Amino acid sequence: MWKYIGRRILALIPVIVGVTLLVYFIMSLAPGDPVKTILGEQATPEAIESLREEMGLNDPIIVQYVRWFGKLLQGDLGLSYKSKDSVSMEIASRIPTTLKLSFSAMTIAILFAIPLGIIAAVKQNSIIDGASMFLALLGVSIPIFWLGLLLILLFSLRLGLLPSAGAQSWKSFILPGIALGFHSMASIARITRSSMLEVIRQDYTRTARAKGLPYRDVIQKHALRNALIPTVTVVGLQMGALLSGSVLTETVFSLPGIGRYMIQSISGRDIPAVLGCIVVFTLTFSVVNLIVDLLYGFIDPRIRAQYS
Amino acid sequence: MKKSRLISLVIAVLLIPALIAGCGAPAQPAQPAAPAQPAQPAQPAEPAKPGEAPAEPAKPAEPAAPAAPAGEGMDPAVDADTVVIATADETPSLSTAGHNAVAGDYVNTLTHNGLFRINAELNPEPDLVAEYHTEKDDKGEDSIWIMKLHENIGFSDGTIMNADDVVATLMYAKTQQNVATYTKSVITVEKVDDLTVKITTDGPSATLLYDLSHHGNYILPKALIEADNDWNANPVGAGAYKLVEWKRGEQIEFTANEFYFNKERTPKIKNVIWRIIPEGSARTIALEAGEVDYIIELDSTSVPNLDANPAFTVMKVPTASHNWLTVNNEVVPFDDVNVRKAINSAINKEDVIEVSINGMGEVALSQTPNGMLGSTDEFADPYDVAKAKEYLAAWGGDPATIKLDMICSNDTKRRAAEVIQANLKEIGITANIVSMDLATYLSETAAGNFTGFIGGYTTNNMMSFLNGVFLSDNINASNKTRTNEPELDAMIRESFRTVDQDERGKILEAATIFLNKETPQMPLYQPWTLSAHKTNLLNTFITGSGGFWVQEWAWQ
Amino acid sequence: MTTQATTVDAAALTKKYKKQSQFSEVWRRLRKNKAAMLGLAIMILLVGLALAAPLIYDYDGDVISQNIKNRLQPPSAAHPFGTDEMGREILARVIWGARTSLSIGFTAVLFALIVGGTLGAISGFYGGIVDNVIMRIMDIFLAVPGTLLAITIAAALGPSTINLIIALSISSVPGFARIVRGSVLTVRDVEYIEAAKAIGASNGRILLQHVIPNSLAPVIVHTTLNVATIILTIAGLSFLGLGISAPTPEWGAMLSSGRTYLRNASYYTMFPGLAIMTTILALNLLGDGLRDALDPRLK
Repeated sequence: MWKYIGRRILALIPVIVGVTLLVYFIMSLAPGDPVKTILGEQATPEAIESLREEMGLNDPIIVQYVRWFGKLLQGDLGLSYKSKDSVSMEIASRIPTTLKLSFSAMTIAILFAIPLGIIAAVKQNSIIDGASMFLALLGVSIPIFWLGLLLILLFSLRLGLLPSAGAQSWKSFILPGIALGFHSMASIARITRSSMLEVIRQDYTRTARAKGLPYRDVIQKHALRNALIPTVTVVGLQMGALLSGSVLTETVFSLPGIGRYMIQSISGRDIPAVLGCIVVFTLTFSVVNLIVDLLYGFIDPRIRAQYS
Repeated sequence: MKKSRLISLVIAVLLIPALIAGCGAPAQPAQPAAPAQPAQPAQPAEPAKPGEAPAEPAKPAEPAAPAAPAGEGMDPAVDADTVVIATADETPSLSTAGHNAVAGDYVNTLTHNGLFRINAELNPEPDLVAEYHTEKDDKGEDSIWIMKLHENIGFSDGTIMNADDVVATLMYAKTQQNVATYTKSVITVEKVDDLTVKITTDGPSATLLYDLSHHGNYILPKALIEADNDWNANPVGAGAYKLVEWKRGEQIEFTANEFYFNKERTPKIKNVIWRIIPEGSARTIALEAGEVDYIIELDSTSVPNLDANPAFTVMKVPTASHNWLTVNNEVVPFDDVNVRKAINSAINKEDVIEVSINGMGEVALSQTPNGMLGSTDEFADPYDVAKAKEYLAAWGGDPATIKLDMICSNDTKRRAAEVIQANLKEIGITANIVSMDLATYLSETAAGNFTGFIGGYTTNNMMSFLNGVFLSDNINASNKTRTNEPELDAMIRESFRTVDQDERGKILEAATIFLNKETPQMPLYQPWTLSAHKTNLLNTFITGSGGFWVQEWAWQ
Repeated sequence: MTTQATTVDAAALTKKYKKQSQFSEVWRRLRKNKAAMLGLAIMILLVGLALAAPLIYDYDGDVISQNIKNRLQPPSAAHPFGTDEMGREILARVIWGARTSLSIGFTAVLFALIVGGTLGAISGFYGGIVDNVIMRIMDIFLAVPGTLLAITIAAALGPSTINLIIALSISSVPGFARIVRGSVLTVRDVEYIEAAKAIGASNGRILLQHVIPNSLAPVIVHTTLNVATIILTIAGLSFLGLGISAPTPEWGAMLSSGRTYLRNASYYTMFPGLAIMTTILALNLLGDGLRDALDPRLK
């Protein structure tokens, strides 16, 4: 098992090299000059040239990349072009917001999705089933940013109940959490329902029923546990969607998270900052995937057997 | 069965947004966002008309709501010792010399102080400097400046400022690329005694005092410069406030600097929270909900709503920011003055203002900003389609052959371009709109890879405006029309060396007239600075260059 | 001679018949699925609207030209969906927006399908080093969530239709490569392929004639669902200002400009949002239906 984890982590190295190299080249070849962006409309030619030299931008791209990667190996994400502060610090100060956002989105998603999925499965083909599955379908269809705008319109503008911008208190995360979590809720509810249905049809469930156990107990003690295995995977896979979605959600709700930082850095051609965000996103995404795989093994003994 | 249920669900769901949109609708005016009427709102604004005698600096910007009865307005967002300011852009840096951003200028002005500061009339007045005079150099020119500091100027770390700090700061600023241009005229800086410095400029300099008011030259402690201080973590200066905490992307907190030198201007409100809310309507909502007390950049669409609410005061201040359509004067046929004048006369600038900035600005006719020394509309063409056609006839070419791509880097510019596009169609010119992000726009236009773009320039004095926008040295940088007129260059250089204000005014006016005759670009408008705050926040005030002094604000 | 000709004909006929029956079987199953049919109907309507857009509203006259006196009019008989900040008919822009979103969405998916499909097929069919190299490269792309990748590429390339298509395609290629590789692997070793190999059919021929047609089901499903994802991404990118640029009508861009007027002209954000949601909903319904119809086991 440790060997497996080790192998997976080793496999991450070429991925990080590949991803950062790709992004570095895209960003460097992109039109738009970080120096002119920093100096702005009023820049003089001399200032542009000397700042470019100072920032090492006159070196070939590959040299710049190798220099950047050398620092990365020492755990240093470099200095932001814009603030001249360390990118690690810039990102670290924004991580809590993105974490809070993802956490509230996931909580809202799971809190609603699992009961919804279970009820839908238990009462298959009923009105509740139809309604909850339609809600789920809606969840995967509605654009996060539009849902966000609707929530702001209703809860901030019309009712004045919740803040529409910023990250001042826990209240600030309710609307963004709903906007971001709705999509995940939909996917989780659908998978819960279908795996629940599958389990209900299994022999052991039928046996339990035949033994005369109450339906409630059967569902709670037997069906649920088994049905949740695929759900765990989907919850993990939703992390990717959450990361992408956080960019849009943070933009709509003016949240100071990594997603918005990345967008701002891209438009400012702040290459070290963009790369820093990409590294963080990629690592998070990969580590979550690894954890999901491991968790999957723990929950399902059949899979655990494969590791040993 | 299932089908009909499904379909009714679909319909129900499609209706939900309509319900959200509709509910509460009675609360809104029947004519939504009709910004037509505030198009002539000159009467409540009018505060800091540049060029008007100032006398008291705390000239109230909210004459519209005079004696607001107690209880009018809203409670402070936090408490009576704190003001919460909402702003669109986060500063790139808290250092004074490491950026050249407006957002950074605002916060630098809280934590730091310059030798001079720009007053309401956009003129520099002594700040850290108690008195100054000029002396003749060996050529008999006024290029030596003797400046004496106030006594006991405290930095926020408790140390006292002396001449060494000034020398170190200005020499340091000369090495910082973001701001080096503001010490260009400075040749040497020497310490005379503990409180006196001697600055030698490259001949007489009309810009030195403006330059010394720039945030890049705010005075820093020498010890920290030498220790290679991290200014973002430790922005020590002699300003009225000092940093408490910078939560990246979210907010910056300041509290009063107990060592601030000017006892007459010590902050009336002790704490300042500087909150970053990039989205315009979100800032307005935050103000209306009472979460913030002051909005620096008010969204123009929010003006009618806030204007109607006595709890809030909207400030509309004419600014020196000049916005235009630029054409590349090196590209055929834009090298022909008749073509440029035809385009200029064809643009309905009122419409541009209406659509682009919701009517919140004033028509610009002259090539240089209004409200500055040397401004004039003489020889500038107003909107006149017939005249535009005459110019085209004088040129003699076929307007259909003119190819103009207007680069736009944001929505405001895009809206302006869409009006211009329609205007130019009327004289037979087909213009395209090209969108670019800011970074690409800045480098492409500086490099001259364009036929046209919507742009602008903000400065607080005519000399630096002309220097940046039209001096031939700045081709491939800020001179984007690529104007290259030796006669104009000479006038600009002369103005820099003319310390006498009246003399200088004549030169600058001559330069403006020269430009108006040439029409290198098509002026569109000078927007108003739009800010809003709770009515019970007093002494707010904005200068024509957008500056303001938080330390003078007070809660009623 | 004649006998041979007849056999060929017969073979062709059987093939044709077989294909037809397969198709009609899928169609029969799909038709039973009411939700999928609803999705299909909406999609047909949307595609129809997109194609007929020029007949309904004139692009230069109604869609991009402005009428300042009419700005921000609420919905009424004269302006069914109201007007935007330039006084343009929102209905006209929503309809033309369908044209923008659908054409870019389909082009990008087609692009991704061709590139990703080819890579996946080669990878799955040849295996070994080729497979390893291709899939490791795909892993790199898959390590960044698709939308984030598209955002980065689109932002770096700058806003334009072509760049947008490139960004969207690149971020979708790995998905297609994976799907196609997977299904190629499952059919690669079945008997009829071995038979084809035995009679000396070339690799290319086997790929084109046997392997690809037999791995179509998951690809069709993935394609349908991917169009949905891509249309959503187009809207998201345009919302962030990285996608389609003004004055071209695009739903996400309309939402982004309507956002400023949320307070007083909320209808402005309603209609483009509804348009996006309806499209995605329809594609999802259709995709789910296709999955059930094409291969019940895939469920």
